[in-house]
Amino acid sequence: MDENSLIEFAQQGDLDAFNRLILLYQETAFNLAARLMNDPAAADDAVQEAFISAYKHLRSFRGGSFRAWVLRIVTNACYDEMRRRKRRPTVPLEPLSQDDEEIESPAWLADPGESPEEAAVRHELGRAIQDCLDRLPVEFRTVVVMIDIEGLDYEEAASAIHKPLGTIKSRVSRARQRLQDCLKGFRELLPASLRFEEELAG
Amino acid sequence: MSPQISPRDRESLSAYLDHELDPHARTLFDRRLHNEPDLRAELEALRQTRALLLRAPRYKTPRNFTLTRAMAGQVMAPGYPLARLSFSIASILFLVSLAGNYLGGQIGLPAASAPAPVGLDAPSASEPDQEITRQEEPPAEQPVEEQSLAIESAAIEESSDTAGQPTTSQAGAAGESPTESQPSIPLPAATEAPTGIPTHLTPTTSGEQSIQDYEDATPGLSLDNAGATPSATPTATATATATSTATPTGTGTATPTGAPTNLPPTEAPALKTQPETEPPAVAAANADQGDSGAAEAEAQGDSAAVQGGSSTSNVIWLVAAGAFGSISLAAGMIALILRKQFR
Repeated sequence: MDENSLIEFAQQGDLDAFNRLILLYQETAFNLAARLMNDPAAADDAVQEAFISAYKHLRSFRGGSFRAWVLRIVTNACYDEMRRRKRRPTVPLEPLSQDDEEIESPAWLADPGESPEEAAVRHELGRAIQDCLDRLPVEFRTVVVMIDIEGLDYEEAASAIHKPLGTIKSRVSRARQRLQDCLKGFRELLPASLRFEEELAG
Repeated sequence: MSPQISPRDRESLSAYLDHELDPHARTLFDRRLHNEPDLRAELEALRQTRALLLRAPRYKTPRNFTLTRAMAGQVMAPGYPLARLSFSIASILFLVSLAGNYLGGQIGLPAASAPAPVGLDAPSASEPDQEITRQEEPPAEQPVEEQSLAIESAAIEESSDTAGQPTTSQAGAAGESPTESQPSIPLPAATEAPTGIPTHLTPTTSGEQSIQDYEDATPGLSLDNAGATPSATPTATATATATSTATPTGTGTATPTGAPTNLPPTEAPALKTQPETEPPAVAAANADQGDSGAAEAEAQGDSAAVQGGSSTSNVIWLVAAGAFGSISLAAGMIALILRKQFR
């Protein structure tokens, strides 16, 4: 059954059809939320709320990219959660290392096929990217995560954040420029292959 | 990075990298890249940055986010619309029942209020009148035809009695009312259905005035009034007979006051005054009504019993309706609260 049929059945109240749509997009939704909030637990809550809200408002979907429609709801749920956390700051539940740095959740590093060295590289790369993403304004972060990490095209991103195409072009360009400058500071943390590529590019 | 690259060129570089330029703009930008090495170097730096982001490790979803039936039930339970509809209907029924009880108490329900006027009229009709007892003795379920016959026979008897007693009181009352020679002709007709009038008039008006003459002499009474009170309830007949006995006294003006079926208590004195003006002859003719007084009291007791029973049933009904309505209202409010919570 294709996506359009699933959407049609789900709009008629078929929960199984909607759950199949969730299975299609839950990874994208969770990664977007986790990148935006840098908190997997908060992302978990936001994504669940977003899917409940999506089911509730499924009749308002009028066609187009269903992925963009879902990610818009996820993005709004993340914004709400971030605003709530800004008003009431919370202490993260992640354990701290000896140098008082948070130990990343192993969920996003778990890859049974990786060697310890590869896992460490991915860990460092992931931390560097997330650190640079966190330094971006949230509107830039949203666009660059959608396009460069989740693979949306400009039109889908424009639909997801409800902004014109020109805004998307501008934001992704400026976000990439800032990320490029930021990642240079983590060059020594990046794996040798990436450092080499960076040097070539520089 | 290259300081000579403008923000607009950077946007074009990103769009070129993402294949978001239209074919014509892409061709033009290809020419610029071929001719401008700084622009080409910037494009390569952007490509590396994007590749780095694409290689970023992805979060594994900690669990499936599929909705359970319970979670979907929070959005809208399958039976919730039906429950909401039933609650709404119950609430409306409650309001209707309350309004019905209130209005019934204000206006007076026919079944409950019918005996009350009888009880009220009975003391006022305590004048020695055989017809009162004759009319009150039949139960409320007595057919109209039977009552009509009883009235006719009684009226005939009384007219014959009064005809046989050419009293001076009638002559004395002639100055007050011209109806002295027709004691009972029009009044049963006034309380009975209009169809009963001609048959009633025929035997009693022989050699006497016609009903039209009587109506002319008593402008307050008309067949329209009779038509306005077509019910043949015991109350109506009792009132009518009271006025019929008052007719020989010359109080023709009292006849219209006795015409309404549900006579208010305030109008009772109009009837009570009639025995005062009643001639001794009529009083003597009706003096043998001691038993009729007993029957009257019995009828009063019956009506009071009926009244008490109806009031008890009314209270029971009101309590039941109130309990039902309270439950319905509470259920409706719960439905509203749940509806807001599920929104």
